[in-house]
Amino acid sequence: MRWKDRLNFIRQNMKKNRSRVFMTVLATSIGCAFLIVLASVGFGAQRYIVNDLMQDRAITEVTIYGKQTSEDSESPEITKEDIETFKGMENVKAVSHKMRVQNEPVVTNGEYSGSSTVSVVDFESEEKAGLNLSSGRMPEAENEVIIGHHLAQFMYKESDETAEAEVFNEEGLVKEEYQMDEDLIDKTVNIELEQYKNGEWERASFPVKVVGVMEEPARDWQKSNDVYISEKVLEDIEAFTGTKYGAVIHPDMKENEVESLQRNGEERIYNDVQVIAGDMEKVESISQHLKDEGYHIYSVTEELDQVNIVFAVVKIGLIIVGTIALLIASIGIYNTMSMAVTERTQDIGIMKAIGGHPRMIRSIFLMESGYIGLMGALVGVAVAYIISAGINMLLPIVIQQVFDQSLDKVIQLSYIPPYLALICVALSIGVAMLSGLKPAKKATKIDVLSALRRDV
Amino acid sequence: MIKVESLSHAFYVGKKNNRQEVPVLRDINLQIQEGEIVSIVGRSGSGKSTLLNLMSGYIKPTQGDLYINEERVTEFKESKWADFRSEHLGFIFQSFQLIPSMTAYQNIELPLVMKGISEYERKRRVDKLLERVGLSDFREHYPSELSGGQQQRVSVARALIVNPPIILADEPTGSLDQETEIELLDFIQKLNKEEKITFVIITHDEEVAQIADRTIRLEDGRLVSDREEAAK
Repeated sequence: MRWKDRLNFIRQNMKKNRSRVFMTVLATSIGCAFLIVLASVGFGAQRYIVNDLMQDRAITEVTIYGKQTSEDSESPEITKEDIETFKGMENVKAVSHKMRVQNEPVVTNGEYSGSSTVSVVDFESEEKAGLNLSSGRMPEAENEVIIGHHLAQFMYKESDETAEAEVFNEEGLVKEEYQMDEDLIDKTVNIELEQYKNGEWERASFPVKVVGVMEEPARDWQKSNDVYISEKVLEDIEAFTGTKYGAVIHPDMKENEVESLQRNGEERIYNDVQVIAGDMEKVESISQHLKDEGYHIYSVTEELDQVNIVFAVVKIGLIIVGTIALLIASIGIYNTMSMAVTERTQDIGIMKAIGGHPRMIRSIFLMESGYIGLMGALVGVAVAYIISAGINMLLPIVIQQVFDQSLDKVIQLSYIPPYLALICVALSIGVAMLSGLKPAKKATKIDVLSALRRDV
Repeated sequence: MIKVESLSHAFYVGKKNNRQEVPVLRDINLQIQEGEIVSIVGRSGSGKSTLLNLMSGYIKPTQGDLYINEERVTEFKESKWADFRSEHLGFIFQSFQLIPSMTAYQNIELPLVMKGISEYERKRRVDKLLERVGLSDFREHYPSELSGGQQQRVSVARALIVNPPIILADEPTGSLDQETEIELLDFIQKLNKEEKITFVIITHDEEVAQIADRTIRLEDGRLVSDREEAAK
């Protein structure tokens, strides 16, 4: 029997008892909608928490701490060569690599000064890695720099009258009344460093021009007082300090310790390296590849794995509860199909008598129960989407009424990923066909003679 | 075409530990040739319907063998029987056995639908048969909207639709008035002559027996006579 004919046959049969089929479909769709809405709360909560974890580029970021070495001669640190390897890897969008100036630099502008973290970056890579400016532009010349969003808030006018404790608020920022009220863009600031040389402390100043200010960090608690310089400025600093990365020599250091700090043409070592993946799905493969290559890495996805496991358990729990509703609906399907087989016993008998194959008869009844499952699932999915939208629309209103608080962010308590809807459709069809299995088998076992005599 | 060898059949009554065998057919031997019309007659309970049911594969014999078209069908499984029926056998029943929710057209079409024949081919064959049995104007009628004679013609058309070489008929005229009965018997004779279809007809109607080439008489499950009719 052709599929089209089977479908026609099923439709015709279903039309014979519309109200019973309607009620069964209704029960199935309620079960299906209940299952989806219940699971959607789990999905919504997971999405909310995961999104919170994955602000900005963090989710596509793989941080590299170092590398495992088999030979002693090989350096465990990340070198230029490693950076090039990362850049050459598949699915890598950019490689952010920084070298921190190992001193205690102070940034000054006129009478204002403040502590800062000075790092050498490759501006082109940073731009590709997703570094955005809130104002200004990226540096073009060697003495041009960009600064962190909060740098100006770390700078204050030093005077003898105010104690340092008074100047800073509890967040560690300079209180507003002591802050600079000028913008640093297009201004020249000095990076001032100290070094212990020839038995005394010497101070040097490196003027650089601020051309851009970075965007505020995504997390509220993060404060950025960075200054990103070019390698040329670092070389100038190193020329003054006589040490690698401008490292400070203390008077109480031993000679061999001082020697180890001095630069003698070694390769640059990067201490803040992040590989940025093209998209979130690629992070895992890149992480695995890097691990295989012997790098020590961290990515948010590793943390996410834990969160996802917890939520997988929650979702499985919710789906099991929802499936119970679907199983109850399946009892209805079983009942409907059993009735259908009993009602159609004579028809089945006639079909068998004139050459109907038992396999075909079984498949007709299985398809019929599957069809009820499909219709129930489709209606159920549509209803679930409506309920889900209703929950998300009403939630902020309820929160506002009950807690008298308005939400600054939209919370989607219920979220139905397309695959949840698909799984539910498949589950519903599967459960429906399972419940149709016994009636279908019964149909194939119908005795032709009894059926023709109409004594069944 | 049909060969019956030492065929016996019995029913069992009573509970498992007190089962009693009730023989219905005892050691039947007969052969039916291609193109014959054979009537099987006998009183109620003589075993004639059982014999036809065995030939149709609705029940299995207790003993003996049955060959149809050179094939030993005795050991056929249910699914093999289904295939065999749809290829080689046509059926006409006393109570027509039409599906009430299907139109005349759909009832005739059913064996072709079950065989997976294309819609175009089905239409061609059903239209032709509807015309042949004179029911072209009743194609969309449901069985309940047709007379007994019309229903039996639909039933005959359904039996003919797969072009079977053998048609097994169980009291085909049992529910018909005399006029319709004559019409049907004429049609059967015509089919037999023109298309060489073999008919095996269960009847206790003398009119039917008269159109048969041979009449087989059963009594108490035994074949008591097998004689050729002198004239048709």
